[in-house]
Amino acid sequence: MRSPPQPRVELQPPPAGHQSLALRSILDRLAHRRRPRVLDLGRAAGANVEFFAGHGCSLYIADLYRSLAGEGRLPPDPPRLDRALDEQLPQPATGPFDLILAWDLINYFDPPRLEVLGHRLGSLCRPGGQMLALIATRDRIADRPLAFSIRDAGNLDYRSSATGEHPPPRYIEAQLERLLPSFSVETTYLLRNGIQEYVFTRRALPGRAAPGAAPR
Amino acid sequence: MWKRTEADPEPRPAAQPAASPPPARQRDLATIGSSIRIKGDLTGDEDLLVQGQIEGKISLKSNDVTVGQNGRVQADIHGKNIRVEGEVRGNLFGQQEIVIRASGRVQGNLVAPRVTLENGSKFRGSIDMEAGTKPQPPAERKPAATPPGPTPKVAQAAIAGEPRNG
Repeated sequence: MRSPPQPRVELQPPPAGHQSLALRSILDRLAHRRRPRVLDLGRAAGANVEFFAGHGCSLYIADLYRSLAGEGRLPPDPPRLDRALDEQLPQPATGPFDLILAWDLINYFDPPRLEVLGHRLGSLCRPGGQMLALIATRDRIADRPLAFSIRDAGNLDYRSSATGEHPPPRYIEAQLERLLPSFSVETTYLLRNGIQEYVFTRRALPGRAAPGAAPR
Repeated sequence: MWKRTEADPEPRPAAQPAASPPPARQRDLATIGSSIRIKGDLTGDEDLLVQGQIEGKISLKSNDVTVGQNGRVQADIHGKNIRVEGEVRGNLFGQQEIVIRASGRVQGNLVAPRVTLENGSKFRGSIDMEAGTKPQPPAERKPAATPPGPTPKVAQAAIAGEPRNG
């Protein structure tokens, strides 16, 4: 007697996704550079590796939130965060990056800590290089960053490992430019799902000392 | 200490007929069991499965190296195909392919013509899939670099003049 077919067990729910308007414009810019260097602050995703390899990019994956916070919280004050970033981010000596993928990470940094992060990222991005950030404009977001993977040049998939929700800082453009002085906002797109995509450009101006950074 | 198994266990006849083609070379597989700890360099000419702990360097450029689910490696690994199901801290250099399985955790740089990260895997480091790329030495830990100084006015103007939407 043949046993009935077993239902296929899905280990993970299918990823949600959204249409990205910023990604294509970023890729158009990258296409003009020879072997661009990409810093992905998010979690490792096979789709992203394949995508950027297909575009002739070299990729550094930082998995920054999990590296900083594990399953807990970010370092509680700017000096400690600065020391942790020094350990977890690649060193500027490895050469500047042409593109930083910050994804939704900025939503998880309060203003003092975002200033520290922004200073570090500024030191890793070449002048004229770009940074992609997805800023939440809605009332609540997952309590930890989503895992983004690129389906194609115009679409992103994402998975959540959140255990709850919390209100995001809901940064506006003027705040971001103040907290990330190494970068200027080049383009933004407000999407229907409450995410505002920002494309930043690394300024070609001298920076300043990291606020609250521990003395070296 | 080393469990040696045959990847292809088919028995061979004691004597081969003179006219028959030579038998395909059997691939040996060495296994480092889960209770084994090794400190030092590993070289050889057979495939390797690591279920124990290794600290040092693994150099099996013509062979496959698998770090099993129980494997803990703190070493650079050179192999033909490298698969990671356990934990590695070190740089991986694959002649053909590197695969990080869903259970795999790697902190280091990957250099191979083909790299696959399965969903759920944990990885931090750089990925270089350009064939023939020489690995970069790890950058020295130094205080954050001073932000770049003023650039020529042409460059500044080019950035300031870019269109801005939104």
